[in-house]
Amino acid sequence: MLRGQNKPVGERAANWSLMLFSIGGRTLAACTEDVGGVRPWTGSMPVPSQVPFVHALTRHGEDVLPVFDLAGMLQLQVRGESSMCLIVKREDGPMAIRIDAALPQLTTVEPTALHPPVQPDPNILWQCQIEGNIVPIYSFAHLGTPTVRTA
Amino acid sequence: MSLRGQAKTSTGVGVAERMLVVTSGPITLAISATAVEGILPPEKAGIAGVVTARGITYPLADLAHKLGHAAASTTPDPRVILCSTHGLYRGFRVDQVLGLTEVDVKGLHPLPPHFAGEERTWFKGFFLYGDGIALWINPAWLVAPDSGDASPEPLMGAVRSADGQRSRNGEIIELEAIDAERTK
Repeated sequence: MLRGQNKPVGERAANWSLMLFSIGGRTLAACTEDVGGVRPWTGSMPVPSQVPFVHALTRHGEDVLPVFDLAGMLQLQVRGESSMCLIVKREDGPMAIRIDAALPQLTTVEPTALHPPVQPDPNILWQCQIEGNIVPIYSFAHLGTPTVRTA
Repeated sequence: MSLRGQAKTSTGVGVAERMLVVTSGPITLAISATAVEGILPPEKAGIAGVVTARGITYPLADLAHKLGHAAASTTPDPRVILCSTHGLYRGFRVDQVLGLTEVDVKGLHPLPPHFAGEERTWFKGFFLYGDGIALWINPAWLVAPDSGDASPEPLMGAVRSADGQRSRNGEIIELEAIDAERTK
């Protein structure tokens, strides 16, 4: 069971603080507590790997992070020449996700605005409607891990 | 001349691993110097699938294929490196030899835990190299016969999206192509 989904909507008292970002023009969201930062995308080096969607390392100064290809998982193409890098917190350590050049935005949604995803997806906590668009709220703690894929 | 016997050196502040750094397609790779027996210009390696040096036969392959990506059709300064460990011998075509470098062991890092598959046996880790990253290849896997089940999947369209690898720092020791020789 994903966080919060075992509680009736009325008991999810606190508002959700979300970061909105886009990949391939599609708006996605994540809880701000699951995001470690946003910075310009500085490139990556491919790493031969058998792990789905984990095929590169990116360096920023002295920091080196694995890259999770969320665009590939969603079968989308990152847009914009100056794309951005979203640092997310997975249970086994931080990872980098390349996102569109558009700057991520912060927003808050009320618990009553949250709904289970229409298409069950273990990577998605909830979905909500923002400016007329249905926006999935991704869980990064187990993103793409076998635990999630078989849940 | 050989790189053998020069794997670990004392830097005064700690132990350093000596590595040969090469590029293969979009990937920068480091090979422990103990596993490198020679570097040849491709014309000296001939066009056959093997290189013979001092009575040792090295089956020859593209390192790109070993790593699961397509070999470049043209590269400005290709080389053949002759490798050996645990009595196994192989030669690999690489796009470029960037040089010999000493890396303080404190600067060698294992792959992040997100890389949880067979790649942990392919690579011993990585280190910061110039403005980029070099993967430290496991020489035992490098020279082992290719196995279809435990080989990298094709890196479709893989590119290094920021190429800072050629901006080398001061610890690089320039190399010239040398004849294949062994010190054994």
